[in-house]
Amino acid sequence: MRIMIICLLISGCALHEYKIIDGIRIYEIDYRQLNQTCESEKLVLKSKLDKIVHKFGEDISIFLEIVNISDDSINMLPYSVIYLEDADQSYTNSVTFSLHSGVDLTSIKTLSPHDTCELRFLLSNYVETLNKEHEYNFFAVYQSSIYRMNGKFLFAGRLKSDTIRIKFNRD
Amino acid sequence: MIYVDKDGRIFGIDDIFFVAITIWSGMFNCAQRNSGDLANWRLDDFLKGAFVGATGAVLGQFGVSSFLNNLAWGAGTGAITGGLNAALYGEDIWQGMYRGAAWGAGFAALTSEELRNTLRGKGWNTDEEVFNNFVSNKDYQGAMKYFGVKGKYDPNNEIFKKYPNVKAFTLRGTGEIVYNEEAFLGGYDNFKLITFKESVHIKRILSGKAEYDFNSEETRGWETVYRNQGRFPEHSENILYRINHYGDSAGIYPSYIIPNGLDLSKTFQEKWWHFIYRIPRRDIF
Repeated sequence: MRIMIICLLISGCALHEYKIIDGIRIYEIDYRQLNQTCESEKLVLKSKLDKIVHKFGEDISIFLEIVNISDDSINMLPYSVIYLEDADQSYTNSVTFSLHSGVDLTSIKTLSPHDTCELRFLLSNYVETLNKEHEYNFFAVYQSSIYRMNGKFLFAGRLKSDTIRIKFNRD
Repeated sequence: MIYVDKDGRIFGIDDIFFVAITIWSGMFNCAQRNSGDLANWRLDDFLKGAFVGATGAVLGQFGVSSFLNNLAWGAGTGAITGGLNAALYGEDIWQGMYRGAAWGAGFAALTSEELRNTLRGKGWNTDEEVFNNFVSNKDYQGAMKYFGVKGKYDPNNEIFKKYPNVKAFTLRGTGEIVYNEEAFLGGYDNFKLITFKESVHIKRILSGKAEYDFNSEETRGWETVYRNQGRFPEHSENILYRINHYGDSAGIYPSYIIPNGLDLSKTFQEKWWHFIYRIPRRDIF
């Protein structure tokens, strides 16, 4: 009986590992678990571009919406890791563009059912990386591994947007 | 404490070579001490020989590309292992060191880049000089063949047209590595770094150890490159930045925005003892 209690205590501790960041207690899911979930039944990531064809070198405005498609309110960290990745995932060394790096622990947002969180980013400094002769297909990726923070439960997972098409004027 | 064999290497040497050298040295010592009779071997002879062999294997991987420096290092390594062997058997340590130094210098000369390149028809040149000759003649495929780099040179590949600065990539489905001209233009050590990193990915893909997510796989690739910097000491890649860039996106090395700024305590940090990764190493093992 005593051994069973000790085992339960040990497994309980292992399940609830946490980090203290600046006095904030956070609980995270493992990165492997995070990276294998690209869909959620609760949240959807949608993308919008003001235009598809851009002048090569100008900042590209990328508008993202995180929509709560469930019937429950969901707490989330809107400014978590957000980046663009090449839609073609068949090779290593593919190019990614960070839209937001670092998990912002200061901004928890509660999304009511069917509520939307809007995020706007500017993609700049891509001239060295992209070729203006080509057309690009990217996905926006939102991910957050923190499922509990300061006693509040949060959305943790990885969301992939619809395809973001970017083209450039050839003149 | 669990030892995790992250890249199949002990002290930077391929496991199989390290074990082979250690066992061979133990057996060689047994045979030497019993006038070639291995049937009546003794455990202490085997252990002493294995210890000396393992020491030599660890020391023998270090060294630089210049012939004379390598010769000096080989002599020094030989002197240490020769002296150690003599000390273990209560023999004259100086004699052991002299003998070891001669053997070590001979071994260094025989395994030198210059001799190897001369025998292969490229003159008394270091690998870097041979590589530079290939590059100045724009014979990139020739360089790959000469240095035994797996993969193909295909600068017209669609991926390189889309992303001109990408130096190489590995196809996840087949494990085929494709190189761009960019891979050859940064000098020999940067080329070695790229080929090493792609070889890491291909091993991981073929062994089923590759991470599902792109950023996680890149993080693991760059971590392995970080631990092997001694193989390409003159590289100009900001490896720490790469690890943290991909590691942050993967959630492996996250950074946090807190009320007073940025918390980087969970990012990949350089430790004082990491200098060991940067000690120049030879690729003979």
